[in-house]
Parts: sequence; structure tokens; C-alpha cells
Amino acid sequence: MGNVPAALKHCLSYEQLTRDYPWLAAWLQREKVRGAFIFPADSRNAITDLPKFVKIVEVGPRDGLQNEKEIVPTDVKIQFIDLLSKTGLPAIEATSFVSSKWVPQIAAGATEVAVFGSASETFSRKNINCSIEESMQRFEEVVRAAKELQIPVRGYVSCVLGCPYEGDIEPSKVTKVVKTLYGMGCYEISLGDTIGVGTPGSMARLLDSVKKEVPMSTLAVHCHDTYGQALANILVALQMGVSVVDSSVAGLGGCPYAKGASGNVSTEDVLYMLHGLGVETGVDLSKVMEAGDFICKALNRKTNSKVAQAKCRL
Amino acid sequence: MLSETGLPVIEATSFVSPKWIPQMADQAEVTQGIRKRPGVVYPVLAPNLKGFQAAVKAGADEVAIFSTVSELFAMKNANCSVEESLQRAEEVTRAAKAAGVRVRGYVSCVLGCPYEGHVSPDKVAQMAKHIYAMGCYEISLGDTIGVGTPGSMRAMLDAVSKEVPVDRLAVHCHDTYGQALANILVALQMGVSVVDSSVAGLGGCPYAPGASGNVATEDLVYMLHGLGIHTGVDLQKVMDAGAFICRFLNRRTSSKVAQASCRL
Repeated sequence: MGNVPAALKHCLSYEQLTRDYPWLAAWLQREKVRGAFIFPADSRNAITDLPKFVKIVEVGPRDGLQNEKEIVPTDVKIQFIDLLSKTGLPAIEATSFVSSKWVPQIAAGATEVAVFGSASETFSRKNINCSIEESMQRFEEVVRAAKELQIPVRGYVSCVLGCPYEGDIEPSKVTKVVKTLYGMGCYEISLGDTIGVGTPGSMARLLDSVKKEVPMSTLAVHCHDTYGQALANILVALQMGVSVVDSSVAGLGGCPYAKGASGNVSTEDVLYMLHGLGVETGVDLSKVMEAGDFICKALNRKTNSKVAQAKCRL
Repeated sequence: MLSETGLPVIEATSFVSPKWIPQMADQAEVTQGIRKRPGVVYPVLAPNLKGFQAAVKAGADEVAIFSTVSELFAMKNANCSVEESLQRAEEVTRAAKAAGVRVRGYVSCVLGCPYEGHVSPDKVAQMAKHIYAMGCYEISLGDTIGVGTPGSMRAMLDAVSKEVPVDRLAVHCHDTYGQALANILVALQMGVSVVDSSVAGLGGCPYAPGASGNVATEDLVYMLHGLGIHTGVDLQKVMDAGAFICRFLNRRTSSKVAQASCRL
């Protein structure tokens, strides 16, 4: 029979492990084992003690399409966004990157502005050609200008659970950037697992750190599904009080750092999970699927959404 | 290759009639041909007494029996009623006990049935209790069509764990709707510590054309290791086995970890 199955069954409880192997606690301290799972709370109810309403921020038209190889004609984009507008989605991102000198021009039509920061110094330099510190200074100008025009600003932080250049990212680094963006006046800050390497363990550790500095209600999670972890990561975030989730219809938008890998989590799959959990979103899943179907035909590509792929009906 | 990965349990084959499942026609040959690694268990499916006897003859040391709470599913899947399928299972477990062979029990459609729709958690609990009492050492709860979500997983496990000790439970989640890892996570949070998965996510859902089926072992192991949970499994070796079988099957892997070539 062997004692492997028993050892497997043992392994889940950290307390049990340290009782059985007293040397383990010291080893863990030394080795700084990451991702020791943090359960949201002691009570069993915490498992599905979730926000009653979750706001879905649909990033397909921007984040999704910009990472697709095939260029979509403007009228198709408009039709796509119009379809999304009928789904009940409360937020559909069609915003653009903004540099401070452009702010006066956007007064002519933008209802919201986004600023993109990074938790990784190398990623910041490679992606926007400046240090994190410099980027924060530039954003401050943007936020100030936007405030004067009464345009809300959403902050994004990339590489929150890992960087393609630096590898692991310390939660404290992310927290510092989030705190700065919040202090500037961003109404919401979206935490992006840019290369999708995060797991529920690293997500829990990150949120544990960030929640000490900004209210949970200002946070959103932007999970990539490159390693298939997105829904599990989103679930843990919800269990910890996050109630805003970014997603992309049909999972549009690949991961630029992982050839052939998927990127954004699919809105359809997120909705399926949330509705199954009894969480309200105000969104009609079948209408989102229609929009997904439409854009995939236009892009001549297969959907990344598993819900869309499954034709099996209950 | 799988025997070299550290996986503690590898389900080798099925002693069903080749008429129904042609891929398993070489059941005896496979059972006898594999190099069993010490400490690793290789269960085989035994749908009835005849299959059990053939399995034992071929050298199997552990068998699996299947049950379901859905009459329609039993009829379409095993060509008999739930009652009959339980009788067959009972014959197998009795013979297995006599032969000193361990039996693992499966319950299918625990979170939804392709024909009957919603499945009551209490019905699942009663079925699990029944086959546990027959003598199964472990009960694997299967979300056969992958329709479950963390909410329905929790409700089902709440009911089942009242009848069967949670350390005797396993979850067998299908990823047809992309919910598998989230469902597994909730199961872990509720005390389940045995998870079924399939390398490269092999095995589509026979009831949903074009949809995926089994959750990929690579993706599961990635999550567990990220959670700091020890599995004893070498992810790289699992990926090698996955690449091997996919090349042979001339198909793309269903594992996202395998698809991602980005390295940290």
C-alpha cells in the first residue's frame, strides 16, 4: 500500500505538518517558502462568504483587441462595443493611455482616464521607458489635470504577482505603488497579474499586504489565465473582500511574453463562476456570449472561453 | 514516464468490454506490461465481476467501481439502472475483499447530470455513504460534465462530509466550463486532500462536443505548489509525459501550463 497516500492527505494542514515535523517551521522561516496558503478566515462560511455584488470591468475592446494580431476595422469595433453595452456590463474599457500633455485634448470626450504603473522596476523601464518613481511623478500631473476636469482616474499596477524580467515580486513593492496611486486620487486600482504566474497563495499574500494600506473596496483584480490560475486567483481575491474583477470577453488578448499562451481571463467564465456562487453582477451571460461570438468571427479566431466552447446544456 | 514523476496513484486501464471502449481492449497487456514503481498504486476500473476477475488475473492490485445518482445517466452510460449498477459494484467489492484487493469508489454527476440537470447534494451524500459502507477505501466525487462552481461544490461537500469522513474523499473535476481549479480550491479549503487529474487534460467530455474534460495535472500541480502544498510530484516530468502523449495523439495539450512558454 505504501505511506504516500497518507502523507499526501497529511500535507494540507500547516499546523499538522509542523506538529509532525518540528524542524519544518524553522526550515520554512529560513527558506522563506512563499505561498503558504492563507485561508481567508477561520469560519467555513468564509469559503463562500463573498461580496453580494461584483463589478465586472470589461477590458476586451482595449486590452483585448490591442493584443490581437488581426486589426479590426473601426465599424466592427463600434458594433462590438455596442453589443457589449447591451449586456449589463457596468464598465466597458475603451480608455486610452494618457500622457500629461494630452490631457487637455481628452477633455473633448473621455469619461475616464487610466494610468499604468508597474511593481517591477525593470518592467517599468522596458515598457514605459522610465523608472517607477518617474512614472509616478508623471501620473501625478495627469491625475491633477483630470481632477480639474472632473474626470475619474483608474490606476493599474502590472506584474503584481511576478515579472517576466525580475521573477518574483515582493508584495511590499506592489503595496508601495498602490499606496502612491491611491494617495494621488485614483478612485480604483487594478492589480494585474500580467504574465499570469500567480496562484491563490501568492494572490492571498499580496492582498494581505495591500489591504493594510488601501481599502479593499478600491481594489480590482486583473488576472491573466496564462497558467490556468485566473479563476482560482479571482476566487481567493473575492474571499478576501475584493469586489471588482477585470476580464475580457472571449478571453481576447494574448500574453505578449508567452508565445502561444492565453492572456486575459474570459468574461464568460468569470460570470459563470460568479453566478454559480450566487453573486450578482447585473450581466446577462448569453448576451456576452453573443458579443464574444461576434468578435471571434471578425477576428477569425477561436474563443478562449471554456463556457463558450462547451455546447453541452443542462 | 508517469511512474517516474512522483505521482502516487496512476490509473492504468479499464476492464470494460472492448465492445464499448475500444481504447481499453489491451487492458490485460497494459496491466502486465507496465513497470510498476514501488510505492505507486495502479488501480484499474472493474465495472462488474467479470471485469474484476480479468483484472486480478492480469495482476491488478487495486480496482475502481463507478456509481451514479442519476437513473438516466446509468442507463445511457452503463446500460442498467442505478440499482443494478450498485448490485454489480457490491459483487466486485465482496470479491475484492476476499482477494485482498482495495477498491476505490467513484460517484459521477455529483454537481449536475447531462440528462437530469440539477443533482441533489443529499442524494450524492447517500450514494457516497452507500459505497463507502460497501468497503471502498476512498470515494472520488466526479463533476462529470464540469458544470459545477465553487458554490455547488461547497454545498455538495457539506452534505457528503456529514456521511463520509472528509479524509476519505477525493474530487474529480472536469474543466468543461473552466471551473475546475476554482472548484478544487474550495474542496481543499473544506479539507479534501485527494485530487484526480489527467496529464495534458486528456479526455474530452463525451457529452459536450468540442469541450474540454479532465482538469490538467500540470495546471493542478502548478496551483498546489504555488499554494505551498507538497505533492511529491515533479512538474517538469509530468510535462514531459504530457508532451510525449500529445505528440503521439497528434493533438494540442489542454494544459495551460504546458502551453505557456514564458518562464519565471
